[in-house]
Amino acid sequence: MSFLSIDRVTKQFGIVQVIKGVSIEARKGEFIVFVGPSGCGKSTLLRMIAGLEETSGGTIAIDGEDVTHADPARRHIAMVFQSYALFPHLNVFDNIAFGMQIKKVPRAEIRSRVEEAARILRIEPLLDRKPRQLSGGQRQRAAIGRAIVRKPKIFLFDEPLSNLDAELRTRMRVEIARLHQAIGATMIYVTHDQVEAMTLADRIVVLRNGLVEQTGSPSELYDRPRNLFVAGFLGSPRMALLPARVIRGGPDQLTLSCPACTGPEIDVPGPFRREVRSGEPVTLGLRPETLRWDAADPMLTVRVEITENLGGSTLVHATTSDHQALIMTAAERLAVTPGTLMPLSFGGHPHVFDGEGETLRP
Amino acid sequence: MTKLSPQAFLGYAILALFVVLSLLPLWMSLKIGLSYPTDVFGDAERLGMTSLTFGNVLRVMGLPSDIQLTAFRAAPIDFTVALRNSLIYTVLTVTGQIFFSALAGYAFARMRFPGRDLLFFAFLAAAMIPGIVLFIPNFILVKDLGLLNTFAGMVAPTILMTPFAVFFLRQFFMTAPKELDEAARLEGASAFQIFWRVALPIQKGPIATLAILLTINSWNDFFWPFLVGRDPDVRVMAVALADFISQTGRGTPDWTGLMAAVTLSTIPVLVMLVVFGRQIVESLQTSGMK
Repeated sequence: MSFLSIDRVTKQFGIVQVIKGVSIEARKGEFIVFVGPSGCGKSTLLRMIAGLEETSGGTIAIDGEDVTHADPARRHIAMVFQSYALFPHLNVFDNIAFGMQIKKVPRAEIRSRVEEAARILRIEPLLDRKPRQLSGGQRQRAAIGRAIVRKPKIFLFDEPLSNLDAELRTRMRVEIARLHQAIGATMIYVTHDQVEAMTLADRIVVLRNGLVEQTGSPSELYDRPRNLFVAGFLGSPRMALLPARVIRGGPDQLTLSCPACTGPEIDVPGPFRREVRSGEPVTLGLRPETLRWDAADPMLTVRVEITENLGGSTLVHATTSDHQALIMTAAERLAVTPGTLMPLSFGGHPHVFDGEGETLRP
Repeated sequence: MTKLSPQAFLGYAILALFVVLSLLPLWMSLKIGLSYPTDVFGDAERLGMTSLTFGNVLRVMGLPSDIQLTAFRAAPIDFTVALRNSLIYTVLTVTGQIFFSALAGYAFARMRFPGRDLLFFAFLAAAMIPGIVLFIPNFILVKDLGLLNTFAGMVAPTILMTPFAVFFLRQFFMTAPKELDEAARLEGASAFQIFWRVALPIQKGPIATLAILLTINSWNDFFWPFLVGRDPDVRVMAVALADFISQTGRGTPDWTGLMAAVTLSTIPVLVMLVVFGRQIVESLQTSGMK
């Protein structure tokens, strides 16, 4: 039985439905990331789990108990807010101890639990400071401290790293992953940053317009995106999407004509989910790392716009002959000047999406 | 030392002039209050001290003094009691008004209940009614309740809440980050605990500002206490001063006694400004920070 069970929940703000029937199951100890563009309803969904937003329809159960309409305090959850929401008039110790002080936990126990949390988060020297005397990363830790000290059933994170600078974000990301390993708690994490989603999640839930687009492990979603939206959203740099048309369909192989391609037709090996009719418009999806410089047997030729030397690898930003943007990741250092025509081939099984944007891969 | 530019010099000169103008009445009351009654008229045109005695101050505080006026017709007014009454009156109205107005302001800013906005606008509309119009109905009410000449009757119209204080605090509660309330709620705090332990303390600056404004108002309140609190046991400073003038014969007020009492009455307000003035400045400085 799942630990957190969200069953067909909906959320209505006036006449606007922001969550349109979402069902998600999470196992105990799982790290689930809700990801999606802004306005997709991911934060609203998180706040519904917390009980900060009323649920318009459906049910939410935690540890087997229906909490759909339960008071937030009764759900045994802790939340880390994007703004940290530290109480500015209290020092770090009192911020972390706040919930226990409300519950009148004995002083000695409060002290030992706060110190334990501070030790895990390495903020022991900061316990006497006020939030305004802390750096962004320290505030973040204090906010996490307030969450872990309560030993909640579920941790909720609402874009906790978005106020930090790039370097600190990377560091805190690792810290959160380490924390999850250390305490093994169930965590629900909301972000619009697909890198955070890929690196942290056991399972990613991709949301768009109040609906779940796809759920799965990061590699599942990366390797087998169900539709164009998921394919375009996950993966950095983004997948290149080239319009094409089916010349000959078949269960094991498709022959496509694509305006960007070098030859009149290219063959894409199967398998495919369904019979594809000839003449059907499709979209070819190419991950940046599957593209290779291949002068011998090129499949498409692109014009280099700009190259980014990342030290160990190179990002090549290019446009195809029909003006589609394309990014290629080269594992080696490439020296190509902008304007160069570059012959490319793609290995493996490229993604193919039908006219509706749904994948043709099983 | 840096040299002042002519513009800055002019600026400081104008400021200095205003400082003198605003301090002059204070100085005059202090000077007269500390003079012997016999010297008042002889040296009226002099700005400096001509004689120095604390006899007038002691006298109006009901303490033994070397100065005895022979022309007194009524029992002397004890300004120590008046000072105490003023303190009680001010503390009651200011703390009560802030506490209850904060409760109401918080509810108007944060809580959802039917008729909330209507109620709030009714409150605002009440602020448009001139205070003077309310004196008679309030007086009749207090009289019928049997609260004349009691502190309860004196503070009744203002201790619960006033539209201004409610509006003032509501605006600040509205600008406070909502996540703080939500975080406290997740920690298991009740609505009152959220108010008392989170929402209220972070408004320390605005509350101090409001407290100063209300304290000055309450300390200077005259007409309402004059109507309902004439008994010496509850008579506040402003009323006692008026009674003091009316006790002495026309044209020959007891100037030294009056000025000693006036000086006495300004001391608490000055002390408060010195203590809290700093906090006002600080609250203005920190409110700009994240």
